[in-house]
Amino acid sequence: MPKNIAIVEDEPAIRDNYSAAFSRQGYKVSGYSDRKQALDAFSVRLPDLVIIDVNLGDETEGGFDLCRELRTRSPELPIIFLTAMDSELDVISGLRLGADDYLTKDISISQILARVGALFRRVKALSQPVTNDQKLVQGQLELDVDRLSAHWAGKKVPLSLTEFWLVHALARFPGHVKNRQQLMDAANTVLDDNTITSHIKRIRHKFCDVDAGFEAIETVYGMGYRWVEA
Amino acid sequence: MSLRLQLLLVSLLTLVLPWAGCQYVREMEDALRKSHTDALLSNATAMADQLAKQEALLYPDPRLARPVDGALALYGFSLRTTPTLDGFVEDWALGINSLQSISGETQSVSFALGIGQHFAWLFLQIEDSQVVYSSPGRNGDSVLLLLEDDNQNLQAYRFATLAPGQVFSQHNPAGRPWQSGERENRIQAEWQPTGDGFNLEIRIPRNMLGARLGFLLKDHGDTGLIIGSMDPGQPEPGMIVTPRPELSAVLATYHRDGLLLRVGDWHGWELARQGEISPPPQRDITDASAWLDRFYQLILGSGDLPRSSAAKNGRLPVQASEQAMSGQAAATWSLLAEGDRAIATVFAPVVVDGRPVASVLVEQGSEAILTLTNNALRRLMNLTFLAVTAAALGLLGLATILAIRIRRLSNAAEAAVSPDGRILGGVPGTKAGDELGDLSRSFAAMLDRLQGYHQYLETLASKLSHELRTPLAVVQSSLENLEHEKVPQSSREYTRRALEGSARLKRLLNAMSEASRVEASIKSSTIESIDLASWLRELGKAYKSVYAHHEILVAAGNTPCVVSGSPDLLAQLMDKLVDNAADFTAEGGWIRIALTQDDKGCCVSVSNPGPPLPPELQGQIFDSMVSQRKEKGAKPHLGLGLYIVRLITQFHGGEASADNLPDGSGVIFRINLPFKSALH
Repeated sequence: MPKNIAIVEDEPAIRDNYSAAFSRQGYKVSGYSDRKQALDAFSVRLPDLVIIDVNLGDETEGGFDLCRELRTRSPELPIIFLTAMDSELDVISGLRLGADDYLTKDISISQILARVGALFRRVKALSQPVTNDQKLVQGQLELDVDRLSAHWAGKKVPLSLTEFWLVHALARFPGHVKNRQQLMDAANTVLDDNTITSHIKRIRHKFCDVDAGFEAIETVYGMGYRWVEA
Repeated sequence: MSLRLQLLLVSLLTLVLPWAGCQYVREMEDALRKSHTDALLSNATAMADQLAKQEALLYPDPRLARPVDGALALYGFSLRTTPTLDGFVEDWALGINSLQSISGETQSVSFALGIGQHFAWLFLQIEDSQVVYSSPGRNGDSVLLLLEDDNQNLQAYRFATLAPGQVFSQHNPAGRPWQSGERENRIQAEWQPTGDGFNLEIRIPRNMLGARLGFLLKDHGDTGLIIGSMDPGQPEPGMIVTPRPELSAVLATYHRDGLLLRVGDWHGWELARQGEISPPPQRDITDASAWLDRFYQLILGSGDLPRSSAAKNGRLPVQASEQAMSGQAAATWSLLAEGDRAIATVFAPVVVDGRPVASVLVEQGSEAILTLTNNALRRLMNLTFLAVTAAALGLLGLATILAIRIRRLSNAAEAAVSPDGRILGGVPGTKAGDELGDLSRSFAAMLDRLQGYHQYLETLASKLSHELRTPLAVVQSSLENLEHEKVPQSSREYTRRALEGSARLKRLLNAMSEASRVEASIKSSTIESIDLASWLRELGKAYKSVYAHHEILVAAGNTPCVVSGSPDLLAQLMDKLVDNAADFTAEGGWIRIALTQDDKGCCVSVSNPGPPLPPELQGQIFDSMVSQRKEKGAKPHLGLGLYIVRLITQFHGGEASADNLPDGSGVIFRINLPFKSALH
């Protein structure tokens, strides 16, 4: 049964282009142009994944509101923000609301398809029994590649999809410096240097919430970051 | 001219008030003086009228009432003591200015007549450059007395001596006065030589002296010059004028405290005198009002009052008596010769049968400024003075406050805009309700608007990139969809080019929004202490691997150089500088990163060989959207890299500068960071 993807986007050209791309991949796509329309449809049936534009018509932050309402209905529903807004503040507020990823509109269609696929994999993996094969363990860090979930010292760290892949890329080869390009490739995304920096900052923050003494990610100025063994 | 000075000058206008006050006081002063003298004048006139009815009191001897031709009247002072016959006048106790003077060609004589109980005394002080004593067969200097005895017969007595000392007179026949005569022992004299002549003190028994007396002084030799109180050719003795105690009794009836009443004869000799000019009241010098009075006298001045000239003892003021004798009554004011007391002098003629025969003089001493004696006026003056001082001080204070506010506003307006035109802050005083407050508010509004515009300009790039992202996404996603459609191979090429173009556009948009993102990360950056030396060594290693085609030289030294800042931002700054250097350096060229420090801070420099900076870019190379690149590279350049460098440097309180190397072989970028600074 094809997955249901909802695109809430006020720009018809983009909405239609993305719909076409997703349909081509065999997804069932429904597009909505504003928050009310989307909520009405979602009250009948929730889709399997939602892509939301932050700026919806007259509501400059209508996407954030929509995300908040959806999260109250379903904590597990994968939500991706897609927006022209790219300031660090927007990214942080989007992710705080519980979005699984936050993409800028200049991302390529192939990338967005990969993200969507990864998210569906995570959802699927969460519903399956744990197998140890797909686990990466580095000291106190435990990464489950199937479930796309991370644990530090046995406690779950709520990483977004991009963050998960960044941590994964760093932790796979401890001590190796990963530059920004390598990190972007690993996260399967195109981000500029600054967004990488803010992602790393936020990852550190999330780990620190679990363990205040977290220092495993080290900045190598001029080059990038590396994972250090405690 | 500063505002304070201008307002101070304006505040000088308040001095018009005391000036007007002074004018008022002067007019008041005139009026007060007028009324004062009017009162005295009526007093004097009444006295004169009274005296006119008693001419006999004035002139008991009618001959006193008119001048004797060619002869001076002699004024006989009443002696209270009996002098010693010693040739000196000091023991007469006359007081100063009692001698009268007559001057001749070679001689001059000062003289005084005293009337004692039994004797009359005549003192002559002769100035003679050559005193010659008589000797047998030769006539020396001699003095002739001509007097009228009780029977109104003229008697002549001559004094000549061989040597200084006691001299007896020679009684001569009146017809040949200069010849030797009988010795008269009753009339004695003392001849006392002095430095410039000699003194002759003559004692005459009262019973030998009538109403007239005259003297002549003859220089040595037969043709010697003669001077004296009489006409030498036709000697007639003048009248002896003496004070009249009876008149004083009459004056006493008119006397009040503080008044000096005097009566003078036709020639101004004082016939009677009653009272004294009141002495100045004793003042406590520490009394504040005394000081204030002095101050008023200083600023008001004593008007145009003349100083009274020293009057001859026994005489009325010459001018007053002459004017009175011409029949006029008048009043004058004068200042005492010393001190700040004024004298009101009023005189009136005594008119008998339409002819003035004598004068009455009334004098009263008073404060130099009468107004000050009036308490109400004094209070008015004090209040005016206080008010003027308060007004001047108030104006000066206001001027100072205004000047301070304006200066503060002007300083703030200057400080509100940085040298490169950025709006840094607001202006103070926007709450004040006056025009300066309006000005401040206008400034603030202007700055706000400017800042808004500035912000608009600064965020234009990021806004633009933001706004362009959506249409770009439309283009890109459409092209990507197109790739999955069946299009002829010939069209594929166009799709590929379009995709390439949109990718480039995307990179441009990212570069454009980078600066604003740096600003955002500056706001959220965390500050820590960084040792730039070890930090640069680490960075250098990284650059060596990143820029493998260039020779990275790091001279960071071993001395720790600790500044406070954000290592992330500083690394970004170095990235931009090194990236910039690498772009301008040919492959294999060197890029030198150096750290130096002085007592104020550290200087990180990045230098590289390359074309020198064009002079027109000096000073604005760190501005937004300024680029010196001529050829287009693969990477888009908007001239934002060095702008980001400046943003980060400014945040650390430092300064960024770009220069050509001294030998012109390349350029050097310097970042000066202070050791300790307030970060903004």
